Amino acid sequence: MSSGDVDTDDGRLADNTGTPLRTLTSEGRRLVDPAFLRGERTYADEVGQYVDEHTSDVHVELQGLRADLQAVVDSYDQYDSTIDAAAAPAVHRRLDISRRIAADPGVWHYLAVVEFPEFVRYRWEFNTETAMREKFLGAGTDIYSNALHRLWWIAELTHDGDDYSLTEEVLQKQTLANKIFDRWFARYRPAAVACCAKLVDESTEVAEEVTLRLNRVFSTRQLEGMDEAELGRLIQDLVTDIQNQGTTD
Amino acid sequence: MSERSPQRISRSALPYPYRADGLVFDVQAVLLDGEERVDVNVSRANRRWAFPTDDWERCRIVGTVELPSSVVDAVYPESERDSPPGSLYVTIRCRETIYRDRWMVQSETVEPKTYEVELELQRDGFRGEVELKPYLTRGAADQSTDDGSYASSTHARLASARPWTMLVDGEADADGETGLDVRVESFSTSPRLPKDGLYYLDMGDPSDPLIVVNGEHNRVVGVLQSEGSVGAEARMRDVVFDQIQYGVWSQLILHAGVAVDSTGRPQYDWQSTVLRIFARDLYGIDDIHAASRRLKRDLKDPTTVPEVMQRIDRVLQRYLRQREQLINLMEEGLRI
Repeated sequence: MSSGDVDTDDGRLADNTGTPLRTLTSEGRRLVDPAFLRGERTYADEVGQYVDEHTSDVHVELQGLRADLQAVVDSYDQYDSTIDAAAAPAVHRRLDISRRIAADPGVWHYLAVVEFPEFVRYRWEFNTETAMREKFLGAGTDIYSNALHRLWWIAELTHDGDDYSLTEEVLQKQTLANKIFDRWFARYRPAAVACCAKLVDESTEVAEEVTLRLNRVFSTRQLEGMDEAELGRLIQDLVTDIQNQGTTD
Repeated sequence: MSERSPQRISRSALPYPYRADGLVFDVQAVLLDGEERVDVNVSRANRRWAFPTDDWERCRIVGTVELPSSVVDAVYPESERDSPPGSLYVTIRCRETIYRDRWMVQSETVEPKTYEVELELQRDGFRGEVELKPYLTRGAADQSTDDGSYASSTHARLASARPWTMLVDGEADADGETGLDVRVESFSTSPRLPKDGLYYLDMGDPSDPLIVVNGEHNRVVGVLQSEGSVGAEARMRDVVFDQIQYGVWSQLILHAGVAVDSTGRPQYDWQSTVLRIFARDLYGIDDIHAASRRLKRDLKDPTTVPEVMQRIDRVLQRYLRQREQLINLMEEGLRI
């Protein structure tokens, strides 16, 4: 792809140093039909007219992200869930945007449908139209929808500056990541970090039971009153209780 | 006890004294980049304000949280009332930016008084609605005073205040309009549209439903596009449009209902609008989130689906004023 800020014929952006972020319009979303979802067609010619520049005027490193995601694709088998662990830090680093911008679904629709549909299809096998549509057109408050949005948000909730080791650890275990980020308390960053750190080495059964018990705990205790260290101790106590129960059962 | 009472007790939810509206939270000023550009006085009744401009980066909110002595007496054992162990803070929640945090007002011990609150938020972190809600939670547990009558766990919720809501991107569509698009298309040439249908609710993009009317039914489309307000054609238009609306609203209510999460909120703006219009009427419940959760529960249970469909039918007949529209058609359009 050529360097500089150049619009290509298919609506994608070519860049070296950062290009304006764009969004997919509602008309553009309607192009995502069953044939597109199955990977039987692309929008090489049509999609350019259904893209708007984001109102924020923010620039992102799409060229760099493309290279990073290609490197991931080259190193992992198709549909391997650990692709997430390898891709999430790159998605978060290269898309250096605020939460306000990340909350705009059109951004993720644009990235999934226009810029990186091949990556989405490489990571997610087509099972049903509904499930695949979510991977392209999900976003918003559901962390488990859009293929790129979920990677960005999980990284946002678990990174520590440029250290993405916790992000990578939790995304190595798809079921664990699902258990944690499916819960509303994981929207509180200290809780997300404490859960990931304490549960990453536990079994799926223990992780599931801990998150269930945490939900009950927060029905009487106020989540935002607790810091990461307190949450870590609470989670560790629950893990110990569950393990002790397991040994006595 | 009145729902509006500032001292409402929620004994059903918590096994110890808790004052749901026991704290008194007031916002007195909102400064955008240091300038007072929001008049919160006009928002006081609704406890929500919309920003008059997008041109700001930092928002400073100045207000007070009052902890009445009656609340301290109610939620702490007598032995702790001289120096109650607790924290007072304002929680900040923004659903769209997956944001939950707190602004600490007082920690370790509290006392009955009015606390000054001054918190600052960056616009970059928020979108849509942001809820500000103060809580009083318990400090370190003292086992010697734990006789089971009072909350004893650290961070146990003891009291809260009615929240204030700020609308970062202006007031949401609150007048009952869903903003649904209507488009006329030829159904016979589109593989996604039912060939013999009069209309179709296109949910292909679940964030943006579209009503498509079959342009091949020329007479029906002609009636729907008529602009008069009196006479047979206008009355017929109202009835045809209601017939389409009935089918569309039914589907939208079902879609919105199944999308509700455990907090009673759905995923998309249009779903919020649908629930805002119908959820309370469906169940005669004032709390929209409770009504929405009930709808979700009823739709998940096959044994309650017939009843919920009956409820939907009832509220739609009322909402669309079908009886009046038909009488208008008969009297003004058909002269019978």
